[in-house]
Amino acid sequence: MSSRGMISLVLNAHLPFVRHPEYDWFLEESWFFEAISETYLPLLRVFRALEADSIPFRLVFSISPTLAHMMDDDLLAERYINHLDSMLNIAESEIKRLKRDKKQKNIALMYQELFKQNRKDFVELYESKIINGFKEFRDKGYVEIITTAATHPFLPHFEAFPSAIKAQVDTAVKSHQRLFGENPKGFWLPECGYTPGLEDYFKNHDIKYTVLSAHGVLHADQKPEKGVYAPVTTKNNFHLFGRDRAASRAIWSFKSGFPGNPLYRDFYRDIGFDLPFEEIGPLLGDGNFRVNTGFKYWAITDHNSNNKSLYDPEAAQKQVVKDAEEFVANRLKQGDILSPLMDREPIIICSYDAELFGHWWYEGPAFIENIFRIMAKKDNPMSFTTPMDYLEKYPVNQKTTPAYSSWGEKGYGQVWLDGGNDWIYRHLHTMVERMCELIERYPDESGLKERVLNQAAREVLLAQASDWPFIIKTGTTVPYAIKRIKTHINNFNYIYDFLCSNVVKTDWLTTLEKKNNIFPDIDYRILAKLDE
Amino acid sequence: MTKERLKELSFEQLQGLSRKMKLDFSINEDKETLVENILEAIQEDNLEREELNNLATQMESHKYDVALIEELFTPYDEEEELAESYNQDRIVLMLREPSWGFAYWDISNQVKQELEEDEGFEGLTLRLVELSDNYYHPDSIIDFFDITTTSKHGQRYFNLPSEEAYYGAELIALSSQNERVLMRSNIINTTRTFIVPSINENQKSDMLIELSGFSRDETAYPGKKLKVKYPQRIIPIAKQEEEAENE
Repeated sequence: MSSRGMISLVLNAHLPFVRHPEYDWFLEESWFFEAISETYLPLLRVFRALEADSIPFRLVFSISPTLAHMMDDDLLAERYINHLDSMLNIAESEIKRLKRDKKQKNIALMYQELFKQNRKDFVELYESKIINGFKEFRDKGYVEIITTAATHPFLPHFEAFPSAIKAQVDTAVKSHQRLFGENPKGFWLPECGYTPGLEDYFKNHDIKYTVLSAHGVLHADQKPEKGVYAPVTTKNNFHLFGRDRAASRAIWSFKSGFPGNPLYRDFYRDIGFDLPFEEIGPLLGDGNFRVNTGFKYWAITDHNSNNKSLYDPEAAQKQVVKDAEEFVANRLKQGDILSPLMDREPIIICSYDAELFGHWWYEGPAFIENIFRIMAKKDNPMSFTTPMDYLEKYPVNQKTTPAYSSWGEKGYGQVWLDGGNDWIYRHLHTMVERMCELIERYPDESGLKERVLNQAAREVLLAQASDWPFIIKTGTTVPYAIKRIKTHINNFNYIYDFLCSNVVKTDWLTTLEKKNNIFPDIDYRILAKLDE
Repeated sequence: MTKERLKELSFEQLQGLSRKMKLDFSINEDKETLVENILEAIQEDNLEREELNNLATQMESHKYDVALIEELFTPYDEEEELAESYNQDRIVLMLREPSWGFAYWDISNQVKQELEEDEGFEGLTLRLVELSDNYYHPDSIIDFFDITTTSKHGQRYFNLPSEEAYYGAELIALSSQNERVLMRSNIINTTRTFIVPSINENQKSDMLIELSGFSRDETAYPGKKLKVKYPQRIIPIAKQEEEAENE
């Protein structure tokens, strides 16, 4: 082990459950397809390249249960292949359109190659189940896969409803066992949302650790003697690691961090919005309106201007190497400063949304590849590890209880509770209470009634996703988010009313089960009221 | 950490804190200036932390970007409505951030009718009660303040005066004769926004805290943990004037 310390790269991969078999094509399913094309498949190729060159790498990948389920879903796999085929159609069209512009045509060829490779990897290598890729690298010891709450709610806002939190944790663990064949050792708190007492929900599952925002650890009820460079432990032996601010800023800051370099590809300038609609429209989605295509030809150039230079992939790749060198150099410098101050190796937690790499920051996967490659060449490098590895070496840590915190805007719960989205909670909390009531009334059902109750439990969990209040707050796909919340609430209330009048509409139930087919082995009793 | 809290410290404590935070100051500087300097330094750290968290939110929002005009794509057959009330008597308290809470409530039809029929009924008030522990009991009440409300509102944000304190909420019907507690909420615990000082000085630990990204130690003077009081914006003006006179 290096005396300089350890680095743990923790990537949180999450998307809400979006699946609409009732339509031939659905806009918001593109979230998933874009993430596969630009983040998950490219990252898997990075792992494969590193393995081929015997470059040591190890990281944590949190895959939310909703995302893991979608990765394993046959309908979405089929639709992703259709999506790839439509991307390849766009590529062909672009190559023809740009035949007289060599530079832009080369970029179009780059995208064609990307989508061809994606199709090949997805269909042949992963047998249309991208989850297989992550399991492969987990089995080889490179990636530690952890889970997060079942539908990724902001848990502190359910603090007054412990049965909801328990159900989210229990369902997540069960889903992880089903899809990954193991018990997760780590648990990513959605949005790093922590409130004291959350650790109690993990004790029955042998879950050892999570990651918090720095101020959550630093504002603990005892001063953390090692800052964020070692974990702290709560009373039931649950360990909490703090994110490193310097490493966070290097990636999260669009203006001053690496992703904002003028040479990198601009996210916003997409032909879906740039080209005349009569030209691009027929190739897009259902052909009725503009959407992102992923075909972007311009570099960031200048944050404050719409005048963009043409994207130069070679120049961008050179910049990636420089940025990775700087990132590694800064971590080594940190290690040199931290080590003499500690009686053990420090750990630097570098945690980010996985989708930042590739989807938002196109060159992100190459950056990750290069940080491993560059570190491997160093004398006395820092080792890439996971929090679990660290705990195996240093199982005894300072006992304290961290403070309420998140990595959301302003560091607490504001994003998920503000004037635009606060209306949801009276309904979400009522669903939890009504579910408890149903369980008391029907403690031991089987057959049709059990199916109904299980579906009710699914609707309760699906409504709680933090994505919906987040989207309402940040203003992206607001109508869809509102629709989703209302639909889950109303689905649940229909079931509640059916059961009160002892009438069940089987057709309606069957359609809903086929659509919201997540957590197939759910047991409605997971939402039972807890003993006080 | 607020101005009011810093003002409660003695001159020597402020100087000690400035030293700890590595702020330059002259021996002749008055208390007011010391307070301003410390506050400015802390606010710089807070802004930096908030900016970092804000950036994460901005980045995360891009994974939901697919089209410019979402409203055009609405294959939804009808507008779904939600129940305005669940006909139950309940109030729930939520902690939004260290100094802001949120309460929502529902009043059952039966109670609404009782209030309508009560000739002495004057209105509703939301009472925030500060407790010494995680349970309601007359002996555990430290303080409280009232916010006038109506049955129409159904929810309210409010400033929470103290850090590391327990709060509960009550919805009270006021009448000419008495107060009637209609419902009582769960209890929340406000969080701290400072680094708890150690009993023993530890320079290495201080340096690790600084390297953690908190360039200054946001503690009270070592060895003393002060209760933080945030200014309560709903204090009646007459009371504010009275308090100002007393100071």
